Amino acid sequence: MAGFTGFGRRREVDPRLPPGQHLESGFPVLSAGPTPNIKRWELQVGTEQGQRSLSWADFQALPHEQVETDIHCVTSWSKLGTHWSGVSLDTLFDGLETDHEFAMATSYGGYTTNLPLSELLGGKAWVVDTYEGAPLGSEHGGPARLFVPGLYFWKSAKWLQGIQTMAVDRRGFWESMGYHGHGDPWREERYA
Amino acid sequence: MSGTGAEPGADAGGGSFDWLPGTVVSASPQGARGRSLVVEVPGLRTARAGQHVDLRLTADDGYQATRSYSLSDVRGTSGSGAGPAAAAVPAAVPGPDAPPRFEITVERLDDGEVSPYLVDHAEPGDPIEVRGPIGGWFVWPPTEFDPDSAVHAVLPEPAGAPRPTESPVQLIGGGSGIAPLVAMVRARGLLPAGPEMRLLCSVRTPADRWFVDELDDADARPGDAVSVRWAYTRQAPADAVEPAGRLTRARLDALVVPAEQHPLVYVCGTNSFVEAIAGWLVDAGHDPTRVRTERFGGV
Repeated sequence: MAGFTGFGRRREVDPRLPPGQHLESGFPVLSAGPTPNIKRWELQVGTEQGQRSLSWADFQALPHEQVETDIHCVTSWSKLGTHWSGVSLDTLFDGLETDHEFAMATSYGGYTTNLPLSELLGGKAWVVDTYEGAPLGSEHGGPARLFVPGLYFWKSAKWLQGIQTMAVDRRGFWESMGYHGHGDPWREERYA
Repeated sequence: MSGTGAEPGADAGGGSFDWLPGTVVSASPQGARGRSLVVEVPGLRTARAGQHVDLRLTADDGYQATRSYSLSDVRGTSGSGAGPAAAAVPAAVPGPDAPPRFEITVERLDDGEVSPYLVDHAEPGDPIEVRGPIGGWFVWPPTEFDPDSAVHAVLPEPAGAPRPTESPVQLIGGGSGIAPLVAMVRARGLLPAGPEMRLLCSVRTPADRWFVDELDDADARPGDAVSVRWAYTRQAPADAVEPAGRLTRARLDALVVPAEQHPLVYVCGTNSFVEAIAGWLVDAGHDPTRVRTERFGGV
């Protein structure tokens, strides 16, 4: 038998790689459909206590944080040391009280993903509009996408339109097709 | 994956996503840089055309690498004896009592870690671990989602369109992006009746075509159930109707099922290919929610 030896290039062993992931130097694009035409951007943030609607100017006026982190795609690539800029969800939800434990992110184009609220608050998630110092390209979810680097990257919904908390967990688009409700790459929560 | 989108277990195939031991049972070249591998996996659940699997390779010293590959033939994963009536049974379709098997078709990426092994070195008898099959969106026949599922709620059916399962099908592949689309053509070939299916595949030269004899046969079969068109970007065969050149919006419009028929469109290829094609389709009036994409590579 020939056997697999891992030849062809250096072996990918890095403590920053979660189990079953390999290094990617490019930035693969995965989208279920066409890149949507966003004619007028607006971001809706809501809980059972209230709703907030932000225009692009409103969003730009909020304090942006710089984030350097690794990202992990469920299709098994990881990209290390990426740089993003965006508004923390703690800022977006500031003053909106909630007893809910779950949230649904909705994208322009119709896609959705569900997340535990605990993964969105406490300095763990942002709405980002800048990648490596440049405006976020439309193929990567621009003008703004959700950014939750602690979870597999499909949770970081592209072309973000809104985030709504919910009392009971419901499944989003990919989660309705067998992908995991939580999606922690260090626990390999890929499929459910 | 069969059943409704509201039940992840059922929709994901009703099984676990543990790694299963598999074995390469045959290998055959495709074009200049590709290869089809048939892998036998006892206990594998039934796969749907368009789905992918994760493959895990382990070196002698324990080093492992995992990659995802689209299935180019799922007919051998069904225990129902599904198979072509033709006398020549493909290697990817086992006998009635044989373990499930599938085919993947891989293009060698010269700087890749796994594809050079699969294309140049893997041989029958080699072990390979398999997880999956995976995917419920880029599949044909399409999943019929529950009316209250998130998918149905956010992607409503366009007015006047036939049901997804009854809609004509347009498959558009760029290069190795043809692999999951061939699985769909093969699945369509098992059905006595069904919607029209057209395959358009863009390749650089005639030598880059995959599955060419089989697709010629499918195209020539009476009844017009399946039609196949090749578009050449660098060099066309002498008898080609069109000269070589990049696929343009006008050529695409002329070749695909018209938007008024609300086809279900599946586009697979590099990101730049898919981005261009999907954008042109939407501009030409195709319903965005009916254009399903699968991309590889970055920007």
